[in-house]
Amino acid sequence: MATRLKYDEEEIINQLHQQATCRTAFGKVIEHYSEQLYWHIRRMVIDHDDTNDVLQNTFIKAWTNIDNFRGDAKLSTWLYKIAINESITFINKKKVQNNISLDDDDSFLVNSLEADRYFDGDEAQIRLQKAIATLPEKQRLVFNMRYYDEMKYEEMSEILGTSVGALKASYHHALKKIETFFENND
Amino acid sequence: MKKEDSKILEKLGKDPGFKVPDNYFNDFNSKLMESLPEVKITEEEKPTLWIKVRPFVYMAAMFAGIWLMMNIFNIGQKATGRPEAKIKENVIKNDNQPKTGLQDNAIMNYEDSVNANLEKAKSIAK
Repeated sequence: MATRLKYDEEEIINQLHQQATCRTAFGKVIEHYSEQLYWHIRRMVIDHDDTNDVLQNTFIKAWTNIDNFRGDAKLSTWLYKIAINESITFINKKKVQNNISLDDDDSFLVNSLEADRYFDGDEAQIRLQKAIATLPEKQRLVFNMRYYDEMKYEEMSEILGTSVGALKASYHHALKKIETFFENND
Repeated sequence: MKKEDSKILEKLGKDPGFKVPDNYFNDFNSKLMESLPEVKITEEEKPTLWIKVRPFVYMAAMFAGIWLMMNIFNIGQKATGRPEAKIKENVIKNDNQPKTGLQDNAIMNYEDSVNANLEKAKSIAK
């Protein structure tokens, strides 16, 4: 098992701003955040191979813009923002490729879930993913961040640029819609 | 499970059933590191001692300038506060009054008159 390098965010941000140390420091950032960002993206785009592409794009975008990151926000907040933008861009591109209106929900992403070799959930899990995919994009994000990542509303507020009150309301609406989906599809 | 979550979600749990290939994250990290392009970092210059003390030096120079200007133009000092000013004030005051004692010196010019008044005022001040 690979030993994890010690992660001190303040030190890493300093190293990221120096030419001699930035690459090594970014390696530590990738090691520290790749897994949590992977799961966040996976819950948005569903397919493993697509997630792999989006995650790669997220880190490359972060790396090429590392000079613009001044450390005003937390590194995790910045990376999550990039990951969310990349996920939404990817989903919209896929909708265009599949001749689906951009206004439609993301249910099409779940259609191939049963055939996915990197999915071993049961029928109930597939139904839950279908229910989540019917939510509007922002509600999907809020639901995933709160329910699966158990992220604090304050942190979500920084990432999504929405007030805590609005996020709570959004999560509540998402729960109601999922319950309704299950009731209607029993 | 939080109290805000619904009963349906309580039954389903939090594992969505997604899996990743074996050793995926280690492979991903090393492959990604190899594919990262070169970037140019704009390093922030460390502030020199002069840059650190410059604001204080400028502020001290400004206050020194103000102090100098106040001294040159006597700003902030009361006219009656200095003996010379008191004397001059008295001279002007006396100059405006009937010159009973100076009637005899009619041939004295104005300057002489003022000097005489000045002498007189000095004796009064004593």
